[in-house]
Amino acid sequence: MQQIVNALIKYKKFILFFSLLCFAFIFIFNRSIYHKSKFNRFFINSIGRVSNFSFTINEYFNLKKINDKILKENKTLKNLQINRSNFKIEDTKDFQFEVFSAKIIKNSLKSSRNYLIVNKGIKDSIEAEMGVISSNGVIGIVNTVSENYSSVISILNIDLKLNAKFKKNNAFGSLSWNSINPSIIKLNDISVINNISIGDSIVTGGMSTYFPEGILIGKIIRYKSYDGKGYYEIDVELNNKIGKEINVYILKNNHQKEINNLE
Amino acid sequence: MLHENLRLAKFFILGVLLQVFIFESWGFLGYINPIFYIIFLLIYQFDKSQIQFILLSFLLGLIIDTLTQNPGSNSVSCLIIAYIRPFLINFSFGVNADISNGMISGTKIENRILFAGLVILIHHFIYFSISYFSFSAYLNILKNTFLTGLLTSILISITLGFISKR
Repeated sequence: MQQIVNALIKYKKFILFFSLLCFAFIFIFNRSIYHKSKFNRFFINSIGRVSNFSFTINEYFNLKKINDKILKENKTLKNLQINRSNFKIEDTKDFQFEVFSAKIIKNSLKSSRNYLIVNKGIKDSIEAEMGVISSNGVIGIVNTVSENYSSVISILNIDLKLNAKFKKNNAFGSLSWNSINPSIIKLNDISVINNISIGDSIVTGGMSTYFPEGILIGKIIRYKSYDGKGYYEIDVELNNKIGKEINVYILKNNHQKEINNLE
Repeated sequence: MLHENLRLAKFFILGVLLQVFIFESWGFLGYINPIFYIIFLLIYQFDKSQIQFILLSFLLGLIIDTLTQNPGSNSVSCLIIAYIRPFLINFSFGVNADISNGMISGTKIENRILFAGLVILIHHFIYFSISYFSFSAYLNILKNTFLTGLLTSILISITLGFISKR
């Protein structure tokens, strides 16, 4: 204890200087959006570079698993292409959503506000507020973009609310995470007049500009209805395991500006 | 002692008022605004408590930032100058570093010029680096540091000329 006090006295000038410097920078980032966004970009870029290195090593050891998954996805797409004979690859340029592939290089599940970092940024035409999905379901929404990397608000972030609906009857509500279990999220605002059952699929509702309609989110594992309350309390098990996802797709809505202008 | 403190208080208040009401919107050659309040960082006695000096300098920067709607460049640059000032004093004045009012009397003029030049240059460099906050704006940062630094130096030299003794 005495040594700590001695050290504090010895370095009091530096401690005072450093505390005031931190205070000044907090002051700057709170007062200036320009400085805040510049700092965020720098921060994402730095984390991105470090994570990219460890990701490259891990990716090498997971190559077999990744290959199997891609083969499975290809099989589904090939099936679609063969069964819909009039479908041509060139048709995709007229679609509302443009798809960019990316890889998650940093992922967190421990906080109540989780973020991911993906290895695509401004250089690859990525912008803020684009939806991010994997082949198994929704991952999150792009939050901040730097030159080479993007930070994504994970679906496992208590601040994120997503529009979702039942696949079978289109009853829609909003999805949010309660920061308890990383594989279960809550579906709110579903009225008790709807007939629901365990195992029902929940998909994106298509009422936001981030995701097209019908992307699988998960399945109902529990629900309760209370007397006097008009809404169900529903637990949805996520279809994707966010901690294990590596390959993701970023969705650019080409009609986003047009829709935002109308709102 | 009281006389010294009164002089410091006078330059603190004068620095803030002149900076906020005149120099901040002066726009010499269209865009050069000298930083006059830096005179407080120069004439503060060399042998006084550094803790007190760090707090006063930070307060000076914070007041200027608040009154001029600046996000915080003045606070950070004043704070860094306050912290590194003992090194600059030792570097500039050498054996005379212990003369209390070294910027006003008892030291050689070339030592005073070196000290003032270093303080102004470092302060302005930090100030513009934080204002631009971008590596790609390094040319603007350097240009503004030298041009504004030149104008600040002229103003400070004139003011110090009035109060200093040989």
